[in-house]
Amino acid sequence: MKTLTAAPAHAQPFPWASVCVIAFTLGVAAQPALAPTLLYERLALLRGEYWRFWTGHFVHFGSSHLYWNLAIFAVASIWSERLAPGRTRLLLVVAPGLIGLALYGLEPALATYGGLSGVATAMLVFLAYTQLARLAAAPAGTSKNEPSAPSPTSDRWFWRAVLALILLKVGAEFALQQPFFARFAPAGIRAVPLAHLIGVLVGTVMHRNLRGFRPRFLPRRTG
Amino acid sequence: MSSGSSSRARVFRPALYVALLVSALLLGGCFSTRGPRQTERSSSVVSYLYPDQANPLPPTSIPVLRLPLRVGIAFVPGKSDISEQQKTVLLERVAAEFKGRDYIQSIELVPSTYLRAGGGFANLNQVRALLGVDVIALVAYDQVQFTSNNLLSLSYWTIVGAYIFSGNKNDTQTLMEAAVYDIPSRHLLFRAPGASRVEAGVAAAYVQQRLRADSTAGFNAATTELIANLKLQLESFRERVKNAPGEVRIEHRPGYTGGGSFGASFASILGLLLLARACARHRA
Repeated sequence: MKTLTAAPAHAQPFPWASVCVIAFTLGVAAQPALAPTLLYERLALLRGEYWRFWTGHFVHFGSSHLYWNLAIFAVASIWSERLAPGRTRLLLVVAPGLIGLALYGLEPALATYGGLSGVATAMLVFLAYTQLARLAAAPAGTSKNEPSAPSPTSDRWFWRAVLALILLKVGAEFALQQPFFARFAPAGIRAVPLAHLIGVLVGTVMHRNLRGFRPRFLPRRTG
Repeated sequence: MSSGSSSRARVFRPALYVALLVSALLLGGCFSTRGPRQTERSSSVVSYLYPDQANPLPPTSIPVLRLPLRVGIAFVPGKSDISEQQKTVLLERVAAEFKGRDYIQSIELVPSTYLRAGGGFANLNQVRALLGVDVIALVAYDQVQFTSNNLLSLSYWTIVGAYIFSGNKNDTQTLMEAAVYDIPSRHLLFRAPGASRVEAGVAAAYVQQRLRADSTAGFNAATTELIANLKLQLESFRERVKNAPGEVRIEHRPGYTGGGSFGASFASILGLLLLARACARHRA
């Protein structure tokens, strides 16, 4: 019988799921011919092309739209996957679909949607909550002896500020009905704050309700 | 014989002088003796929208703007000798100001042939049905050109002077106004004016040529000011809509394209927070 040994605390797993998602997003941007097949399109969804609930998030409306979304997503997702690989991978699978479904149900006027920011928001919120939970659980003063351990005194304010920034962005977008902190290069594209709000909710729920979740393919920690 | 011819010469000499004087007067008069002249070209939004109404009733319904908007831009029909080409150039400049805004879906330049003098909202509803626009920017203008003489115009008596000396003074005053209307509710959403004044001295022979050039320059300068004011009015209108939602209702048209987006500002703030965190950790 194979015995699973505990990995050292600082040995963090390779974030392959995040890398795959980033590569897929860049691939879609490099092959614009794929966009019509992958974009969230309400009419196509009504025809039964359900994959668009997931794939629409990986299509972007311009290089600026792509780069900034991807920059935020890459940092949040890789960081999260190194801290909580199981839940991050689950979030990467679930979040695009949930956001797509919510847009379908709650925003019937939305004909076409693209952009990774909803998923990136979910990831950033999840990362912030995960870090805050680690800080709450970590004994004070461990940071100097163990570099990978969180530093409760210096970090808590940071993750709270990240959460506040996201909430400010979403609130302002709902209030102003235009993208906050962002601009779309092509005219006629509106910000969809609902996607960000659903991202916040998905990230929060994933952290709060699945704190003990660990997929079977990951080794169990002991001790 | 000789005394007869000399007496004839004596008789004709004053007549010759008189004839020369009259010719000079007439020729000089061709250029200058008519005094100040005035040319006017204008169109009026009020005469177009309310042709036979002395006291038009204010609209009662609240305008409902369905975003993204489809906007039309047109010159109000009027007493005009502006060419269609010139109108198109001016309208394109105004249209460029509306483009690139996420709440505007399309902008249609409405040709003059689609609008008839005194057509009113019935005419605008036809345009709405034909071109599918909801909001229209009606551009009206009033241009007056004066030509008067100055002291140099005395040189016109020499005829050659009418080609050399700038004895005429042209003064071109232009006022333009863009009034943006919501067609279904007949509400004036906002308006933006633009004015210009072009003055030029010119020789009598080139007055008409110069007046045409001044007219074009006047329209261009007034359009530039109108565009600047239009920007301010657009922003002010957005603020008004935000602060007084009862004044205008905003809805979203089914079938819009949306995107989720972070931007450079968000990434920069996040980057600064990360930097501050790194500094704090380093200090700790």
